[in-house]
Amino acid sequence: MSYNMRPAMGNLGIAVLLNLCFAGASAAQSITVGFPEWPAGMNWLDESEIAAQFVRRAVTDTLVQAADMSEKGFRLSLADSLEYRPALGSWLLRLRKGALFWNLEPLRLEDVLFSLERCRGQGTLKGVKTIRGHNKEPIPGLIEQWVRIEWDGSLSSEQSSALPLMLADCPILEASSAEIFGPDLGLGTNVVSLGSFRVSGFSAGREFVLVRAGPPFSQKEAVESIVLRGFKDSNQALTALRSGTVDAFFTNTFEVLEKAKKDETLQVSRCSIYMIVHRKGFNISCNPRLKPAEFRY
Amino acid sequence: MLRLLFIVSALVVVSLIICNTLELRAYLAYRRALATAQFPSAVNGQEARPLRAGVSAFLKLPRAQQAQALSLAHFAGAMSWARQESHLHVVSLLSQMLEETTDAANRLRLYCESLSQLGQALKKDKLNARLMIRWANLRQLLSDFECEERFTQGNYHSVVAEALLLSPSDMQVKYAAGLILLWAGEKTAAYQLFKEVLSLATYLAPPQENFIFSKVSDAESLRALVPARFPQIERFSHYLKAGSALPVGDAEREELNRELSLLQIDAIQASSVDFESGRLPWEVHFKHLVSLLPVVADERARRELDTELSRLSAKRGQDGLSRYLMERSRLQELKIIACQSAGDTRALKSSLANWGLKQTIFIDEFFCSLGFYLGPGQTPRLIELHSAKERGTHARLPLKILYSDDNQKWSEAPQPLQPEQFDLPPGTIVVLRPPAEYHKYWKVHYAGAARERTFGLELGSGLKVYGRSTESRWGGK
Repeated sequence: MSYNMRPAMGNLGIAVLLNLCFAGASAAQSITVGFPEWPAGMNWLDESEIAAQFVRRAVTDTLVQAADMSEKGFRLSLADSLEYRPALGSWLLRLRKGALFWNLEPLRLEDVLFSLERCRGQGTLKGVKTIRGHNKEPIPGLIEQWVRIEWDGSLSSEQSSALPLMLADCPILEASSAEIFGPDLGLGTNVVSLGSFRVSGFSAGREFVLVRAGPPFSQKEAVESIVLRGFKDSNQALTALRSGTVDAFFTNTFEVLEKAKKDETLQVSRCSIYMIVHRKGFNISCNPRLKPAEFRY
Repeated sequence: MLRLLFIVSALVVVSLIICNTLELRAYLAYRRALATAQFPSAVNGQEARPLRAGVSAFLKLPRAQQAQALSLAHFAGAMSWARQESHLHVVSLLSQMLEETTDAANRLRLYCESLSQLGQALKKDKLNARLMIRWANLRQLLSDFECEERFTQGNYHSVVAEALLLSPSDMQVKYAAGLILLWAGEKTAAYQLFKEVLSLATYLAPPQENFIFSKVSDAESLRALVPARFPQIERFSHYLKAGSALPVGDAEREELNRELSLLQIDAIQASSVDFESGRLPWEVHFKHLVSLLPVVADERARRELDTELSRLSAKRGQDGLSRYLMERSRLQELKIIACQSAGDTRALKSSLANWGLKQTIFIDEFFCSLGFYLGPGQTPRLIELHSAKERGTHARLPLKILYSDDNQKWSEAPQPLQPEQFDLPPGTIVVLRPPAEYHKYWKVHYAGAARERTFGLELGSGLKVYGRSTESRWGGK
């Protein structure tokens, strides 16, 4: 079984062309999203709070991304080929050529191996026995980077076929900088990745500023910068939304949701297990998972 | 006496005429053969387009006619009188035809004919090592296949050995012999030849050098291929740093780096011995050492290099630089990740971001901040800023050092800074001495609104921090 699909993010040249095409279609936007009860020393790379997830999904990219339910459940992103070999109990992934980190360093095999091992250590890649990388040179001068992921023999092929969705939760990070950051990786601005946004500043417990790292890939990605703002509670966030300080906020407080539903200018949407209160006309993208890059007016 | 002289002269003239006639006959036969094969204007083998057209026309001929064109009796006979150059012309023609031929049997025949032509050329120039290598190369390519043509039988091994004996100083012969032995699976002998080529060749084309370098895959092959001498070790270090040919595994890469470090140290010591014995001028030895600085393999080699540079600087009366390098040689280069914050007007409050960028920046420009993150257990003693060009005698930079543990609240180093400045080719080093205590985040901040732009540095390699490390993962104790 093999999957050779168009990657979710094209190369830089395509992105620049698309950017030019969409330049006239929509103006650059800056949005602010609120998060009540945001912990002060949040490590957004490791923690599961919605604010951490939001930063993680905006700032990092993955080999495979979860796709709409109408598709196969996933689509390729930093990998451009994915093969499943049930007889060998292994998956083979080829890294997309031309993928660059924000600091313009190319994505290398060692970055992917480091990131996958990190995810395995954290329990994201359950059932994975070994992760190996190798280079292939199908024609002279063209070096392809491949990753082989082997499964624990005791797992069924059905269980092992869940790997792509596990990979969709494993952010790819630059290995050399991640090793230097060590335990501080994921605190504040401490990461180098390949997502649509990068962290340009933060204030613990109050604010995170994300700015677009490269040109947008589609018309849906009109947002140039996202400010994440922490609030003491959901009522404070609702007041901020009504006064125009924020464009949306996440909450599961029943009382606040009821108030928002009664307000004709506001709308309540579901995003996984979370609810988002936002202005009417503000689009959120959450199918099947949170996509901060596509939040927009 | 006069008559005798006349007879001898006449004989010489006649024999010259005969030789020329025979050569002319060979040449004409050669032309005729080519014409038979419909090779317009291809006789001299120089004009690419007609030659190619001729080759195409030749390939369209029935096979029998092709065979006839190549083995016409009078052609073959005439070629036996031809000059060596004529055989080589035919070989080049045949190689053009080989490029256009896909049929296996045809290709074999063309290879055999080429081999035979090379054999005939060799017959006329028995001591030509390059011809021997060409013959051996083709003979190896044909493996056990037995050609019917003349001068196609023999052992390529012994021909290679003879060529090496005949021209021990011809590096192109050595390189080609190395390739033949490599293809024959004789890696050790091939690597030995490649190492000699790298050591002795006065000029080696970049693709040839890169081919040899590309054979380095582990510590063993590194030691076998790359000589511990300048400038080869420096060129290989650059190749390794830039290339994608590194082994994938961490352990293999570490082992390779360790071996490279040993080679670099050996090369430094060899250059030093040459300098001390007067075989190498100060300038050349100094240039060797400086060329290695950007690609030094590890801390051991870097310390060796600093010590030698310090010693060498002292010999030229550069006492400040010598003392500084000696001090640096006793410290460890710390692992950092750098970034820049342009227009950092709120330096005591703003956080560092955009880690790992490698662009060129100017430190002396409108409140610019250079920042770095320092892993745990590392105490900085020296912060170095390397300018890409020599800075000359510009005014001292108004620099401040700030540090933080949370990347939000910053403190300024209490002591006033006195940056030292040294010229070390190709640029200038500005040295700052931070407080010797551990903090995670550091800034070197230009406290001025001027846009001088006299001190440009590359963010990846232009900022270095030296100090002490207590954690093993940074290579400390």
